[in-house]
Amino acid sequence: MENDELPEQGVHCLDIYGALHRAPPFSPKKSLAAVVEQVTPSKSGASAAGGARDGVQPKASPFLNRSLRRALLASPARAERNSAEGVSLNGAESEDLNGVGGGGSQLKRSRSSRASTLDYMTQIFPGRRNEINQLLNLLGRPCDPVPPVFVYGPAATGKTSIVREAIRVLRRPHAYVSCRSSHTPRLMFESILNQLLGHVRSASNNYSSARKCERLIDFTKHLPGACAQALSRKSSQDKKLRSVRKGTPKKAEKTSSANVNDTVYLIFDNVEQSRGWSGGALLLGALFKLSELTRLPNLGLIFISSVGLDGYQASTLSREPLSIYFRDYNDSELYRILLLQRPNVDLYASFLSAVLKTFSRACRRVTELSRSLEPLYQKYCEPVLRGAATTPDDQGKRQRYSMLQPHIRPALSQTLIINVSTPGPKRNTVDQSGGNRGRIKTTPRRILPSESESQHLTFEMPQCSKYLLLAAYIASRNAATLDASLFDAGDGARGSSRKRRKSSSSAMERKEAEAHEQQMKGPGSFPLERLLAIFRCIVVESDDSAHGFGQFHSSSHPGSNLEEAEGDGEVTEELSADVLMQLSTLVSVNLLSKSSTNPLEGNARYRCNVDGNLMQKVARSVQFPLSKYLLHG
Amino acid sequence: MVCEEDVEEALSFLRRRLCAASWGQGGNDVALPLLPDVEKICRDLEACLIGTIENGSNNSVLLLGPRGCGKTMVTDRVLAQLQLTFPERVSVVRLHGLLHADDRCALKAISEQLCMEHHLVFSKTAAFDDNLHFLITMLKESALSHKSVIFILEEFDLFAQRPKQRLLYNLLDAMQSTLTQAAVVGLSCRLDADELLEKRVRSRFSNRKLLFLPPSAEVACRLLHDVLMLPTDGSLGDSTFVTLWNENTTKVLEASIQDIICHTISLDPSPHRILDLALRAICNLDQGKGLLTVADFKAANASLYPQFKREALQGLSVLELYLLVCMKRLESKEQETYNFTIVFEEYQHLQETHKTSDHYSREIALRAFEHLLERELVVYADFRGRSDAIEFRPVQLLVDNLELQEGLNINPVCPVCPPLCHCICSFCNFMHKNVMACDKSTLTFGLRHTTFYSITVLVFVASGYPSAVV
Repeated sequence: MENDELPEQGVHCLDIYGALHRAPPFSPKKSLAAVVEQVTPSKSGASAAGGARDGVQPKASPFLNRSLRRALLASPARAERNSAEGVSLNGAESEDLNGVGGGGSQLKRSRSSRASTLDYMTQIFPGRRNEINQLLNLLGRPCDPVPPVFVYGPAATGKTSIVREAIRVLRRPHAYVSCRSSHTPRLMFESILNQLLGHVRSASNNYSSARKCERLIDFTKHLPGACAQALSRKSSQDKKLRSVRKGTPKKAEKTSSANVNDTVYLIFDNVEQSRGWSGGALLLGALFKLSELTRLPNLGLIFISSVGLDGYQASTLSREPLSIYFRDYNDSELYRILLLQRPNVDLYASFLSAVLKTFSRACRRVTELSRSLEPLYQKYCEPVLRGAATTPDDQGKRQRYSMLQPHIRPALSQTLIINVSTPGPKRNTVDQSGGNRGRIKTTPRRILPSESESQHLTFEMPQCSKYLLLAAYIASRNAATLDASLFDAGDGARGSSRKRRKSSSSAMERKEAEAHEQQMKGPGSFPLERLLAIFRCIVVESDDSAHGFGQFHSSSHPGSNLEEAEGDGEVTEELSADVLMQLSTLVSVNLLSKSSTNPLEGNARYRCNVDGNLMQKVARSVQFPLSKYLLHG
Repeated sequence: MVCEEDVEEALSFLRRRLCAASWGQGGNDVALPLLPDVEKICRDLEACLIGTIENGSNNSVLLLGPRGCGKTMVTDRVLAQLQLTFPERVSVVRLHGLLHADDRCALKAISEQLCMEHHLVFSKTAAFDDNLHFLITMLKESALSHKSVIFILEEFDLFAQRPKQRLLYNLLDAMQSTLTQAAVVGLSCRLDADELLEKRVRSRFSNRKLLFLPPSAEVACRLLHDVLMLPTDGSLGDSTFVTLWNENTTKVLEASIQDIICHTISLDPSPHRILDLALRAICNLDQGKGLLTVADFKAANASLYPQFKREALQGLSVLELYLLVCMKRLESKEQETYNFTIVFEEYQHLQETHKTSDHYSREIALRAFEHLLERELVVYADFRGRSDAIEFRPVQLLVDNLELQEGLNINPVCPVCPPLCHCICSFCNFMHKNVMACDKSTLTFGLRHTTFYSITVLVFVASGYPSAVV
């Protein structure tokens, strides 16, 4: 076990080291581990890993240090879990190491190792036995040819983790690439070749790839050589491993000879992303039949996608690969997964049995559930901290539940807002399904979280921006024809509209329904002039009512209305210079959006992206009577 | 009773055979016999190419047929055969529509392959004109030395879709000269591939087409049987196991032929589909028992034709189902476009009228809505900028009425009787009314919608208003 653990951990560190340097721009959905291009097969694990650990750590930058620490934090947890799983795991790994060759005499052994691999994996990934079994069946023995496999299923069901863990446990040579982090074909091809060739981009080689690979045709040219090299490295590494472990020398010979025809696996993750690339459909069609294109018989292709094959129109360009579906977890599986890696299993179990049913009706994604249950659990634990019995009996359970009940609704309604600033160590608890890397998958929140519990703005902005935002909101929500009646000081317009209102109530109702419908369709767009005019009006009006503020309209006459403001050229100019700055800031943080302009006309149209709740808060912070200006709520 | 070594060996053998046949993997040591139709095509193609090699008649052939009918396999076999019978007189240039993306690249690839063949030095920097010139010269030189060049163009339709079709024109134009000795073989799964050619190209094409048709059901069944038989010539060791396996397989195939195999064949009778079925069945095999069972075939068939929407609906949470039903309701009110705000309003309306416990806040509903988007049960209906807020972007529902109803039935967490089912029922009523309205106007309602609707309409008509149609 000692021997096993060492290279493994080494690879882990090395991965992170590599990732820091090689990391292409990646979306925040996957954390560090996802970007990691795993050095495979981990020959460099044994030799370079030690170097990475000894050499790098002392002189490392703070960032590197932190991530290293995280890696080290993660791996003890893993070791702990391994030891908790006890005999079966040890059996699996050691059996597996022996069974790599898969020669005739070891058939029995390899089969039993397959069974124990299955057992081991089902223990890490509860509720996934069927899927793992299918996967292992399709993978077969190291020398078996593998048809292209398409693994799909909704997010957070363990697709990537299971595929990678299976390949890792079976110790097959492979390259893993995610279309999310390698976001162009070139990055994808080069990353695969780097991994197969065992090339690590670093300062010494100026972060260049092993092969330059712009197009698919170059990739198909380089791939056979890279596969051969990966296999040869794998066999030499196996030999080394054997000699270290003082295994039987006969087997080692056999293995190296059997290795030539072994399958090399290419794992493509997040394939659905590639549909958005230019020429993505062609590329995907070509990848599906890569082994035909390269005439490599021993190429195993695994595609991981969150969308089923029906989303690809794949059959127009190639034949469909064999698919494996990862279904959603059901309630009992969710229960088991959430229980994993909990220090106080009994307490958490009684907590889960109380609340899980309620939560799983709204959301059944493990990552989100575990995150949203966390604050509720803290509440649940309060009596324990105060010194009550650790595991409550039936009576206590009921009591606790009644105590918890008032908190469930509010917790439910804010569950899914993911707090980015949660401290790091908690992350490990999040991803039980994710297996070895302790990574979380979170989708980035929209920029405008509306936090219902706080009445105040969570961020501060200049007074001018607030008014600008309010003006934009009003301009977005109201029809342009209403401006005159809202802002015009004269009574004529209002009177006439009142008259019209009297004329027919049913027509009015219809009109209102129409307006409501328009409202539901989203904010309208408006030209810059209208925004500035409304801005002037509301600033002036609020200036009238409240105590004066305003560096940005100090020179304007009090009580000036729309026409005057437009008429007074000097003032407008002065105002625009300042306000336009703020406006472009608001656009750049996406509170306002600027629609594409007609280049001939030249005037852009804007739209306000802020939702009502946040707007109310802004209005409250400047004591602005927003509802007075909105025709429809 | 059954030795595991034998099972392992047999499975490995079958797997290699199937992969080689269906995915071009795993070497050619386990080649399959050809189907009778394909055999004939094989002979035709061979005769045609022999004509080029022996008589110097320049030919161009198109092999057309749906995916998985063995076009590539036939070409490979014929070429291998030719290279055996006429050593040193054939040189093959392979191009693939997916790889050689443009004409320049394709010509480069041609030059490269010819250079490799004749041990010349290939210059990467050569321009299009240089490569073309080189190609013409090479063709002439080869003809002088009685050597034929055979061009294989896979995914021929992709070459034809390039603007100007320069490559095709130049190749086929070279065929017209008496100084060359060459053949062009195009492979395509588009049956109208020759229609794609420009006039000047088509007039240079010989219009020889070989059509691959999917085999009949009997032939397909026999193929499945043949593929799963182990050879009895002793190459696999223990003969008792081989006979046991073969007997058992025959029995299982006969037992499962009615429902499963016919199902596969009726959906897609191409040989590769059948090989896939066999491969999955083998993968499902329980190695402890070591023999195929009907259940293996059943599982294989199920996984071969996954029902994506159904699977996705099965795993949805209650809230997500509610949102889907709300969208369906909006559609039934003939509201063509809707966004999250509208859907959520409908949802609140539903909750007010039915008073269920599943009343959630807007934030959670939005989150559930995002999940639906991620699963692609719902897609954006516009292609506007991404800066727009999710709640206001118009969306479209990709789930059919019948699919949704079935999804509600099979979803384990779906509430049993309450509003969801009710909503669907009301929707069915709506359908009924429409059928009433349109039974005279030749079912336009059904035809306007997808096939599923038309089936529904027909079913309704058949059950309720037989006289209206018949």
